[in-house]
Amino acid sequence: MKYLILSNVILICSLAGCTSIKPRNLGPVPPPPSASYQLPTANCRLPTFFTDPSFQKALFKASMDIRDYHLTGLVFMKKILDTRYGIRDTGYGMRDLGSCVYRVVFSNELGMTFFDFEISADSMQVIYCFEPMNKKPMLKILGTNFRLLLGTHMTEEPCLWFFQRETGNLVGKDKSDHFKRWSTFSPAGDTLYSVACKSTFADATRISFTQYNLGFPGKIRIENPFVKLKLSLTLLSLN
Amino acid sequence: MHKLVIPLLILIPVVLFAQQKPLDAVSIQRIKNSVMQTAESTKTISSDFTQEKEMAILNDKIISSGKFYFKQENLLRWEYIHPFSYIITLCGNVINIRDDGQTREFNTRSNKLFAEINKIVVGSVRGTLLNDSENFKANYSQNQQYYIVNLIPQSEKFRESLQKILIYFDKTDFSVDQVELFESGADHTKITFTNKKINLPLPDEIFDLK
Repeated sequence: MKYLILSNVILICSLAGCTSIKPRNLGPVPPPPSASYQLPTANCRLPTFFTDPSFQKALFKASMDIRDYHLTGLVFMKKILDTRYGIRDTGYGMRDLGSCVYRVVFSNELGMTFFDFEISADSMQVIYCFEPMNKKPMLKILGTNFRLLLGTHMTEEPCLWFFQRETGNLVGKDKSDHFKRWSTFSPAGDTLYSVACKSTFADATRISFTQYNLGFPGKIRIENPFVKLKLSLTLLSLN
Repeated sequence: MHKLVIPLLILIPVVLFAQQKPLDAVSIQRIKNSVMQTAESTKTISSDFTQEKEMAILNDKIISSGKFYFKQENLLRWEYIHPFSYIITLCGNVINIRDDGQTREFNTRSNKLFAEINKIVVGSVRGTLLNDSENFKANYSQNQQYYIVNLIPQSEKFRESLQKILIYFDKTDFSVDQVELFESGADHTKITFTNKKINLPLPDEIFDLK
């Protein structure tokens, strides 16, 4: 019995290690290069690509690998409510959530919908999800992924800053809902490279941003190592 | 009041012509026979296509376009050109997809989802889905330009994804001009075929992505 418990503990620790998304090799931030240099932001409520007032909608070419499935198609994201500028009709009645609400639709190239979600700061409503993916654990993971991507998580505490020794990148750590979150920036602090968060090892998520053009990432990659989910988005059109 | 009469008299016939009129049993059988004859005599099809996915609640459309090729019996190439590059070919039970420079192969025997999509796409484009009474219930109507077949899936499970398919047959040659796929929500996808070329030589190589 003791050996069974021990082997389970070892197995869980191994799995937790395999799903570590915390940036490695972190140390204290070195003295600033000049008196005028400031760390990127007082809080880490990022990414802001989608919460920016100028964002309306975006179309991505997408591919998703999850277990035995390889799905390709288009992901369409649209901000349907932004209460910072007044209350608007989402199509399901008037809402005032004090933040932004988005619709995220993933369909194949022929137009058949895989899933259609409504995402806000505190919830995800499933408008439609095709049957193989319509499982509670999967929906929870996808909800976490998109809420992290869309930046709807609210920050609860100030950001602690770290320096990544091997790359020179700046890493901000904060907490949001019950998630620990790490945001990795360029050494100058002006470009967001990735965001990672987790509350347990099972829901660990890493999102990386590359190929920036006019301040918006051209490629976004979302990974959940524990469930081996990878979602790649390539920007086709913006607004 | 009389000033409105003449414009109304002009408008009403136009509206009536645009409306769909149901068909009787004799006409339906004639259409089915003509569609099958056309399908059998069509060895190859090359055409452009435009695809519009309408998302009703979002009041938005996703528009894509490309080229479509078909060769009897069961070779199909669906090539998206704008706004993304994507090719899917069907050779019997084998599906090849080229996406982002990578080519993958799937077998419809082991992949039911692809098998179903394959059957609907090929059956819609060729018009042979009309004879699949086991899986679809068909209602026929016409307007000035088209014979319109409304296919409703018999399976309740199928209807959770796809409520109905509308196929528009050109009255002049019984070829498929348009296919509309209606999902269970308010979204639907319309595929329009233009610049159609029938029975021109097509090499088998264009259906092989390897």
